[in-house]
Amino acid sequence: MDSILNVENITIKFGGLTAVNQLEFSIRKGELMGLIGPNGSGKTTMLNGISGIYKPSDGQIKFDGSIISGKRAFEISRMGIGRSFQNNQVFKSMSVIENIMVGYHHCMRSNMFSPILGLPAADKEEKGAIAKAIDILEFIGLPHLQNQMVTSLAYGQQKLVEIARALVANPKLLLLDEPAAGLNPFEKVELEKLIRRINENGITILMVEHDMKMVMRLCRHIVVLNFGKKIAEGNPESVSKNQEVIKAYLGEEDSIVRN
Amino acid sequence: MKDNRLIIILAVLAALVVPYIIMSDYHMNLVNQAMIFTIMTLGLNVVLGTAGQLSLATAAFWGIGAYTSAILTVRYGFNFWMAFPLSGIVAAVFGMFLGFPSLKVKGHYLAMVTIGFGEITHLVLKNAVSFTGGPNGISNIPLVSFAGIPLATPSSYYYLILASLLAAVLFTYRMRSSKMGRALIAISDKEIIAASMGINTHLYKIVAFSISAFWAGIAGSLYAHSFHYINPSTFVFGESVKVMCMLFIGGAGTVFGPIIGSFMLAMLPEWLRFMQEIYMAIYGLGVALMMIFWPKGILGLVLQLKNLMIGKKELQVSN
Repeated sequence: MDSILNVENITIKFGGLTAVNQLEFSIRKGELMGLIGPNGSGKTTMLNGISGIYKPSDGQIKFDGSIISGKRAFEISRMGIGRSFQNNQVFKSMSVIENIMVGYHHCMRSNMFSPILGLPAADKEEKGAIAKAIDILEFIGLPHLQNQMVTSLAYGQQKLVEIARALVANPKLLLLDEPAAGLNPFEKVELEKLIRRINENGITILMVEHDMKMVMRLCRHIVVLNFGKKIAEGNPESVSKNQEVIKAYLGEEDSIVRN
Repeated sequence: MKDNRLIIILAVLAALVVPYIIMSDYHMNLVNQAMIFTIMTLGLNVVLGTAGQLSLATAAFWGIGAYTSAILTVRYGFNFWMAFPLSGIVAAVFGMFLGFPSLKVKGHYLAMVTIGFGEITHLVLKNAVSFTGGPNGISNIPLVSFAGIPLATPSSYYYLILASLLAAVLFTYRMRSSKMGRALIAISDKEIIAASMGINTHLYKIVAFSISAFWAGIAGSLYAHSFHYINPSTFVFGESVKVMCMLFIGGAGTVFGPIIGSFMLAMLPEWLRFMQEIYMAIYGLGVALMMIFWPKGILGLVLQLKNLMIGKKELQVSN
């Protein structure tokens, strides 16, 4: 068991509300794991807890051997955790390529003032960053849109830009928060292929997703949350047959996946 | 890109011959003042126009820069060329301190903190008599000379201001397409997301405040040595608001917007002079109307029109 992320007994509270309750799971290196559950079950809160946007009230999170819970978001990102967000969270006043270059920010080693002073090393690094961003745009299939304002892109394309923005920094772990939400069936097929390709490139992925069919096809390891607690964990077959899971989703006995 | 460069070269050449076109010292002084304001606006453009942090303390940093330069040269016999950069640096240090509250408070709460800072600065300048000369200010601020030539006339002093302004423009221009520029825009767009991209948002916000204060400090030093006399009543809240209006009317976040806005607002009182008492009312109404109808400023409007035209062309091509 070579795990890259260990969530140990994590609780996240907002005032009196316990959004995540003593949650435990771990992700193996190279795995594509799904985190599912009904609305309000604490999935996004858990992702925000991992990436440092929320501080866990209790418990600890270990990433690649070191404790990351309590660190600030930018530090966690620098350690190699990239992410996308639930709704579109692209930087609206920038072009597509600039958006992606923001993701590359912490990989650029030069002092923040040296590009402004026009130092050759900084110029070279900037050129390298542009080349890297174009590579990633080719990977997600949008190289022709690099100089467009990101807001002029279709919703689905903006979501891809968000994934590219996370990928450009070469993360060890990629967190995807509902990547398929709002996409049309054609876009979903393309997204599924893309997620698979990212995973095949050796990047561990933790995805939160409501599209059950997609999760069941992509992930061999699924954790199910309800009211902030883990109610099931395992492969798609065992999870979809789990009575607690069926009850949480449907409130009655039925299969959550109808093929 | 290429025709941009041509425009810049032409603009610089035009700027170089301005003193040969404007003959009167009075009008030359007005131009100088407008340029000093432009440097401040370009500074505010970093913290407000780019990083989206509402700072209303520009006049305080302007004052800090002016007093630093005046005190160093008059009291301690510093050479101007030493005092000049130092006034920017001292203002930047104060700017750094003002940056800290921005880590905790946002939007209009932050604006109130910065207004408070401006008021405190004003009161200190007015009441620390032994240090600042109190309400009487500091006079006999020395003339600047460059390579042995005293810049005694407004037209010769103009070139010093122009050089500083060009430095500020170049800084803004290069910053926009650097990792700092992207980081600041990201913070302005969505701070939490920027942090999740590995940007040290706290550091960048403080740096933005410092840079903005630096340029205001430089503008302060230029102001002090241009009029040879300063007193606290210049560096008041109203001036900070004026600089903010200059930024928004020209077009926040752009390079040339602040230049256009600063010159318009600095020159407008002169153009509206024939209206006498009611000119302030007209001026205020004009600013308000522009903000309602052109929220992205004059440059924003120009770009919008340009995009409309280019957009149409592209549509025809793709059809």
